[in-house]
Amino acid sequence: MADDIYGGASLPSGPDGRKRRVTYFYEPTIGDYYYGQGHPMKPHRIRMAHNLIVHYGLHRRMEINRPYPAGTEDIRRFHSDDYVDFLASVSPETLSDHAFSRHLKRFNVGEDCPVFDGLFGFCQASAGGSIGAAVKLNRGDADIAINWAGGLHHAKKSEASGFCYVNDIVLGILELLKYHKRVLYIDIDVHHGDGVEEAFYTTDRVMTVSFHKFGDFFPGTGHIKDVGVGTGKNYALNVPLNDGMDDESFRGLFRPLIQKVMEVYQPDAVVLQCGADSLSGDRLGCFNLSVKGHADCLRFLRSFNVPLMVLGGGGYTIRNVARCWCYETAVAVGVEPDNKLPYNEYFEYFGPDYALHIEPSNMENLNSPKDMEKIRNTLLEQLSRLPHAPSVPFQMTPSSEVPEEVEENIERRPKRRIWNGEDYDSDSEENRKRPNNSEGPGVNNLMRDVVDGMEEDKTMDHQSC
Amino acid sequence: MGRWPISSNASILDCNKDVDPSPSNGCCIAPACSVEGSYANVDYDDCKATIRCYFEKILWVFLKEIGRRGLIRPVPALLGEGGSLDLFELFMVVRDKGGYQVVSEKELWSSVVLELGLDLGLSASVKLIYLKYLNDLEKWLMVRCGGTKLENGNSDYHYRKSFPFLSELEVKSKGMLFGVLRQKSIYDECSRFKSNKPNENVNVAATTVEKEIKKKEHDLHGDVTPIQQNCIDTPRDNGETNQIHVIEDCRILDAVNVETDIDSHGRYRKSLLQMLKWVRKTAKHPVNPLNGTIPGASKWKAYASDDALWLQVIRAKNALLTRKDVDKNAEKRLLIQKKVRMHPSIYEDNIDKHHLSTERICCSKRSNALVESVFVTHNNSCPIVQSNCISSLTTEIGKGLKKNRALLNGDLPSETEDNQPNEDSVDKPVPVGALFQAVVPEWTGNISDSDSKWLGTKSWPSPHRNNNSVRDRNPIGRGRLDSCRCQFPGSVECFRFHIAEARMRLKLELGLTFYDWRFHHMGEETSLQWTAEEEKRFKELATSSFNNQSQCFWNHSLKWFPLKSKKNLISYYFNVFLLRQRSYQNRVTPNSIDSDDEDVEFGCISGDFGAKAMEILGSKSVECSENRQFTDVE
Repeated sequence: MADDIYGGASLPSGPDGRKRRVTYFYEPTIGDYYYGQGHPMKPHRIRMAHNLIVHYGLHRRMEINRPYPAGTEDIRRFHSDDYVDFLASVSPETLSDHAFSRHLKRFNVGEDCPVFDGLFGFCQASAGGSIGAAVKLNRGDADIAINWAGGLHHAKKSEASGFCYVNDIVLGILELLKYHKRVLYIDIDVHHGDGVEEAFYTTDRVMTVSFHKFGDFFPGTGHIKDVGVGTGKNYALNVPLNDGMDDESFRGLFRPLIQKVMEVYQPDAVVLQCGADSLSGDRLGCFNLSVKGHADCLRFLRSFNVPLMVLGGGGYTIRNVARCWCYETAVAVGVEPDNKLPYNEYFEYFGPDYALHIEPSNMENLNSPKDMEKIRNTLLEQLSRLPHAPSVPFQMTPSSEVPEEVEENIERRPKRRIWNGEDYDSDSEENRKRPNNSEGPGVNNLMRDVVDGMEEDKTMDHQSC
Repeated sequence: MGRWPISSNASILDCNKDVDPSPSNGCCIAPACSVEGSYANVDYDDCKATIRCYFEKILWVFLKEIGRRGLIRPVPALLGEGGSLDLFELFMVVRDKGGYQVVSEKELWSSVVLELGLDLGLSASVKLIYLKYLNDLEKWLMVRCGGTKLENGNSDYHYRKSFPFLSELEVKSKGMLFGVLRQKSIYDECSRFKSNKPNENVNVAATTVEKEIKKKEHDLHGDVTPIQQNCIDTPRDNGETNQIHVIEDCRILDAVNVETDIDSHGRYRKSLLQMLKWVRKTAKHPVNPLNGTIPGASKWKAYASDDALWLQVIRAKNALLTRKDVDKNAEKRLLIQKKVRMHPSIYEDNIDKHHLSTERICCSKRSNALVESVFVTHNNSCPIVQSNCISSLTTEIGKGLKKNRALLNGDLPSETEDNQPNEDSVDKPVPVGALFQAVVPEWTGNISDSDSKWLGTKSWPSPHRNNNSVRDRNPIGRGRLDSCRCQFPGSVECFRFHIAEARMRLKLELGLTFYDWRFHHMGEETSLQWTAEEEKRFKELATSSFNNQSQCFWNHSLKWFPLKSKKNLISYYFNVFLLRQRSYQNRVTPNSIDSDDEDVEFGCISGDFGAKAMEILGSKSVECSENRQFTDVE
């Protein structure tokens, strides 16, 4: 069994199964970048989050790296040459030059995406962190790699959009694709992850799943019927939601859908965009998630023990962003931090309660259980159209997936072969999961435990239906 | 004086290409006048209408010009009791009497009013309107016409007698418009209309104009140009309201003509204008049998695509309805979700107006959408009266139709709902192509190595030294203690003390990494590099400029703090200023805290806030400082 656990391409997680080796990228100057007066995007929030993380002592459970700034050549792996040249050379001072001003409209730079001091440096740090995170995972140096400066999911190939200039996610995923056959991208930002979806709309090597507010909302894409085209058909999943999404409803969608996705798609690596604007009380968002509800997504994904890249994203009530990303870092390293914030330099930002967690507001949840069920069924149906990954045939029902409700489960959980991890194997899908079948008994034993553990989830599902 | 004095001048026929005024008559500027020549027996009313049309055009240009200078003259001109005044008629009458000056001097305004068939009591209003609308135009025309004076006597008012001048006016105006306004298409259409039987005439004048006319020929085939129609219709129609139509139509035409792609949309615009005219006519005379009847909806499909105006109207309606739904959504989206579309101005912040060039303002999709939705609003709510509505309406309809050309040209949409279900995905389809997707290589199983440079610089575990002892003392994930021994727990002073404590501990644990991560640039300690005076100034500046929302705070503050970089200022803002705001909010207005809206929260500052704290801060270290104000509050 031990061979099964650590064999194959499954990640060795050390002797303690609950721990994950976490790498965290932080650019110390990131908080000094400033989009402009009144602009809701404030890189300062990343510094606040880092500050909290360190005051909680979470850094002791991580490796922390300062990212190598991505160069123009690296950014060109996704973005078009002229766009990158523009970003690299434009500055507030040269903005009025004809050479630049005529490009502003073309590249959608100017309003949502202003030209600010150090713009390119910011992009370099953000992209460098995400690429670095991917490399960390590729090398097997880490199970989880975090870059809170990343997650800028709106940027397009030749166009800035929604505060995003360089799509660090796409660059990170491209890096992951060097080592991994399939990468799953999950986006829980309140806005649709349009840039990433678009970038991988025609490929089945990346599956994108976005949970977002849909309808009269930026960026306007992400219809449930947008499923990808060509080879990528059905490899884009969109979960359109309405205002007031709360923890329970979110979980009632997220868990079963991601469960199914993991099962069917069997990604070799997962990228989770943790945009914090889906939190309650966000300045731009309209969901009603608590920090715990938000972090539950990460907790769930972590339980699959697939190489996991965790990125930032939106989040415009900066005190809550810092709370959320701090807590999620704690979840990643497997620590449950006190609710009472430790004293820290930005302590007053978190008043008047000075607590880590936030209470959801009493706003109305416009997502009726009926809608939720309809969406869930539609998407599960879409997922069932995917060619089923070969390892799954052995009798696993969706509910038998392992949730990480209780850390103890993880201890005994074998490395579930949701992905076989035969990275270096170009064999057909049929061959990929064969080793799994051989570990049948062990897995089945586990499944029983797991099924018990899932009871809670099931009930929740029913409630939310 | 002949009916068409100009037409008798045969030489005109040959001087088409001669753009300079011919010395012989001083008026042969434009080819159209040659065309006029073939029209010796044209109906008198038509002539007048044609002239009217040119007059309206000139007037429109004129009003637009003065509008640019800030003098808005709505068309149609409204009299005191709300009736509209036919400017053309007015101009003709006054002109006939010798012009504004003469009429005023001789106090002929009452007779002008009578001739216009208006109430005598309105003479003052009429005079005013003339003064506001037409006086300058008159003067200008005088100049343009080379000082030509009217020879006609005041007493013998007759249209025919005024024709020499009017023809001149017409020709002149056409020439002017021709040169000035890129209005070839209208021009050609008019001339084409007038010459629609004798192509030979055109051939005689083998000019570029002729080519253009020929080019237009097939476009015009079967279509009646709007000008033509107006010119013909107006005199025959009863009442003055129709004269407004002419104005409107001309205006629309001009507005449309200002658009660049004249040629490609010429035909469709023409039918569009006809259609609009039909709608107006029908609206004004709903029971007029001349408007024709509209068969039941079931029979609509039986009609060919181009034959009936009402059919076009219905198509346009459907097209616009479809579009309107979409746009309504867009508009609502904009209103509700302004905040999402992420421009500083939307957050009601102060933007540096100079910083934003107009080009930048136009460069987001949102702005365009906004403009479009404004058009739609007009379209929905505004009857075709207001001058600016006219052009925007036309533009909008044009856009709508353009977008829904398929609907217009093809079959009638069986039901608009057809478009509803897919509206969203159709609305914003995910673009596909090399310009949009990332290049994802096929999975080969061969792994290309990642550059290890991406691992970056390791900053933890600390490359500097190991601090196990400290680590053991402070469990991971531990929050703050429940209670403290401070005199006033929870006060600013208490917090500052504990924060300083925590910093100290952290510094010990992290060692040099503390500086690597720039913790020394975090928090209120940043203010140690500032003098009390500077801090005070910053606060005053911030308070006033954020409240006034008048200018860009940062540019302004840079001038005030020449020794500090913008980075310093911003750092101070987030690490000190905002923190103190929040500190204040937490204690004084705990129910309305805000760390994000830069404009709002500055309004919360009480006059005294921070001043004392800053004085103390300036003299003592952070951790010892005492803020009496907050102590008092509690």
